[in-house]
Amino acid sequence: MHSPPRPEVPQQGGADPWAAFGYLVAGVLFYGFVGWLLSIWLHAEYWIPIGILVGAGFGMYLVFAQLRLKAPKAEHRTAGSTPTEDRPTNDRTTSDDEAARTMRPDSDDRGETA
Amino acid sequence: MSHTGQVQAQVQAAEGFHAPGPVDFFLPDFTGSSWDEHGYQVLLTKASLLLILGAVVAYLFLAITSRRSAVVPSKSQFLGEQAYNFVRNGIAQDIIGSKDYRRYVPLLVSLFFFVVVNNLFGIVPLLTFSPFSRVSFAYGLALLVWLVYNGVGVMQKGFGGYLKHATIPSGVPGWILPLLIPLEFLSNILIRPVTLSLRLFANMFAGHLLLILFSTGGAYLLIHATGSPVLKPAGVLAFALGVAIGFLEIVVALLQAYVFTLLTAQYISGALASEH
Repeated sequence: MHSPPRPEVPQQGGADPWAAFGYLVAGVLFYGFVGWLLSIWLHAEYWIPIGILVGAGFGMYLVFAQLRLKAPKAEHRTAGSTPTEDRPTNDRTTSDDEAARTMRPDSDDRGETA
Repeated sequence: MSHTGQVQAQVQAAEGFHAPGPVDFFLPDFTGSSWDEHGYQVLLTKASLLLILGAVVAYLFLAITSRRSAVVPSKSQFLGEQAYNFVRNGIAQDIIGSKDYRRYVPLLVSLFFFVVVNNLFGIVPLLTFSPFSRVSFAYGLALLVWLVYNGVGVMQKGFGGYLKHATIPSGVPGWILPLLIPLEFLSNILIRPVTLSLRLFANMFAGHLLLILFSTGGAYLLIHATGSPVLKPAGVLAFALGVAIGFLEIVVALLQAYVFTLLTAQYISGALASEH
């Protein structure tokens, strides 16, 4: 299944794919609880939905913060390893094409001979 | 059992067909205790015996396929090595990273095979029950994973260092941190094991419930139902769908074992990570 050798095995793996779910649930649970406490303290039940929505907002903010953290790093890594290639996954075929084009003997001076 | 029987009798008196439900997952105890006024009290059920059998079968599979290792592998050795390599390279190395994944390969391989075998028990004839369709078994397995990834983090960074690592989100400005620290803590420490166990449990539970529904419903439609000529063909259809669900369950069993192992590796990797 993994017979072709992989060119690069990452030193550290990616993040938890379920982190977004965890952040949203944590936000809703915690700030929903805070809202419930406020609703008891202030005798106003509208603090519960406010807490839930604020918690969902904070959870989403955390998800976005984690994604923002990862995106520029990945870009930097690929740009640093292969500075001239903009498509590192296709580099073999493109370099073969490049090689074939430059190896063709009469491709440059065709205009003169013809 | 008396309670179950009572419910069944009532349902049968009312409708004629006993629709399967969570009560079907409360298996009778071998030692005699069962449903009573104190609730469901058990020591040893089919589920716990199957769990032990699952460990034995997983061990035997790996032991037999690796017993006579040869340079030119036999079919069984090839199968075992492919499955082992799948977990070692496809999960452990890819997720934890090539630097320090080796220490966790034994744990991940054992987890994967243990969960696979136990999940597949749900569709093995005569066994037909997956221990992980009882939520307490899934909780136990998730507790093991929770201890491992938190222990790994504490050993790597010390208790205070790991607590800081697990509670302080990176990439956010400082003024908002006090509002987000509880969320990071809840998400990393409390919600992870719950989702890990509930995902495995719910998939096994739902699959088993579907199999009960299609088989008992099909049998009822074929044998007992009267009144309309379409009922018996509907019973045949229900059996056919039940067989299809059985094949789907094979996929679900493998997939859930994969997901469980993958997430375990993710959590270990997250606890080891130098920065967030």
